[in-house]
Amino acid sequence: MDNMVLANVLARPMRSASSVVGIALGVVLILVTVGLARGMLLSSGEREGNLRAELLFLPPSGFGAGVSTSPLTLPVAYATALADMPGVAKTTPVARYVRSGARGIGFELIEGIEIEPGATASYPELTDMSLASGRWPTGRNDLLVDVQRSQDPETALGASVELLGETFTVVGVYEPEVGARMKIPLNTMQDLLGAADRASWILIKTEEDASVATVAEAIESKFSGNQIVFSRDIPGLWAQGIPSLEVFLNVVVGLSVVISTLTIFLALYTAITERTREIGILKAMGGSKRFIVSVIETEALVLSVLGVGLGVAAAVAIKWVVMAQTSLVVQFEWQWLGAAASMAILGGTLGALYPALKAAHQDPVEALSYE
Amino acid sequence: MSNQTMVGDVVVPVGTPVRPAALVTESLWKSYRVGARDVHALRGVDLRVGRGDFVAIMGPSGCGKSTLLHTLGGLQSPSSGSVLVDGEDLAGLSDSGRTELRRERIGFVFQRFNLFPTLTVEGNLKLAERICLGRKDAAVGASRRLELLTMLGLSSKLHHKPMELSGGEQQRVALARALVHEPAILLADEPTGNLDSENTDNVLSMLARVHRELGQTIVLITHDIEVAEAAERVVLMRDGAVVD
Repeated sequence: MDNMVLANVLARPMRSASSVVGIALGVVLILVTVGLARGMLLSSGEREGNLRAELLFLPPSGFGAGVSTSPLTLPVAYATALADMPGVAKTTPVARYVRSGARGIGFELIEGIEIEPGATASYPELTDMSLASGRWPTGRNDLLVDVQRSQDPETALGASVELLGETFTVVGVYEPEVGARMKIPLNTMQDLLGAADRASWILIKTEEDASVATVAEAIESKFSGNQIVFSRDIPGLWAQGIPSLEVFLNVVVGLSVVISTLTIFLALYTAITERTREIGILKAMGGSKRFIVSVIETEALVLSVLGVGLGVAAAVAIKWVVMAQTSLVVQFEWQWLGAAASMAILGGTLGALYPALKAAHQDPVEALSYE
Repeated sequence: MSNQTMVGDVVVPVGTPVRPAALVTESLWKSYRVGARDVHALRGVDLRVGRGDFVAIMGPSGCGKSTLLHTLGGLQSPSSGSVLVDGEDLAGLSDSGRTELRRERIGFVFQRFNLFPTLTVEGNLKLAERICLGRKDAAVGASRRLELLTMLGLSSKLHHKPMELSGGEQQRVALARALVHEPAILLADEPTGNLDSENTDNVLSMLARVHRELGQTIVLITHDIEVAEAAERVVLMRDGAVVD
């Protein structure tokens, strides 16, 4: 070995390994947390985006209701009134409920939908939803799930599922993915939530030759006080639905920098104390302060880069396990991969700075006599 | 009329050719504050070492030999007086200036060898090349490295780590490392202090060979008269001052 940095890294394999793991932990923290948050939001947003309806009619509380457990507040009667508006082809009411996610992780949405056409169109009719297997719900406690959910043995076709204090049976699997992954009859949800004739929102499909904006303006004018949302805006609204999310993610990034900084600081601080005599030798040989700092910072950089590599690999493995074992969606983005790597390397080099400066300013005579 | 004259601290016969000075100290003092009192490690040392000289500084433990060597090599600054290395006064240099001077003109050999244990023989020398010569003179460094390792009988030990070498071999590696950048002055601090007699003889003969074949200026510190006798000239120190 004729490279001092690599020799130092290899000389204390356990210390180097623990530093690499510490850095990797920070990278995993960023990638998995952000990936989970982004994945769930984007996945939900994309499913909402699959609605064939161009507009959503909501109560004044807004789209935040999409992720709240607040009771159904919008009278279903709006659906009939809206269906009579010029330019409106079909409408259907939707009720939404939020429960904690599968295996207690995250949250999960359940929708109450009109299975059969009545005064308004049915949900399957409006959204072009079709059966992949099984049958449409006919009984009070029949449950529909999407294809992904049906792959979980606990919610597979024929399985019994506890929802809202009652036992439901999965009778059908629908496709494509749209809205909530689990759907029950609207009447059942209204009954279980004590909200007869109420829904969370109304889906509105406009006529093919109608201007969506004009229809929206007309609805807004007639039913002022309520909200009209364009379905194309839904993915973005989901991301805004949790206003503190960006703050939370920034806190996670900050924490990961702290972890990386402390890990490298502790590892290199002890290493520098151990190598006091060697630093004295470097100084006796004419090693400048800049040279000594560069040697230690390069060592931190090597450990950080290894940590980033390990962290990314671990995050990919975690993503695979999470998505295989739960209904959660983890989505990695290049932007956050870059951020995680940058933060880990920044934290590592920052952590090495004090030990490096301490080493560079050591008195050479004292360092040479260090036992 | 006297037929002798003084050159620095040395009395030489009139007419003896005098080499240009590699190292000169004038009224060199080094004091430390210990508690409430000053301890004078060096008390007005005057010394002249010519280019190509091989000088041994001998004296009992605590007489200031190591302090003198560290001050000559710019590892510490004097309290007063001057140290001229190739005509440049160390007293006027900043810490980084003294570092640069060490890098360009001084080579150190220590009693405890002070090799980097995680690096091979080649790695230890390459590190010195990188510090002293930079990357641009890599070819010069490589050729000098091979020349030195051959001269010191280490060419077969290139890929060995220090712990795989005998004490004598380690000290020869340290010697090669100190010389790889062709320093003006080699400062050796008790270089045989940790060696048995066989290895002592071996290292001393290598020092003599380096002096003879490369014309290297060497200042060696020892408390051992037999080691000191390997030098051309012996300077005696006692209580921080040169006495003979």
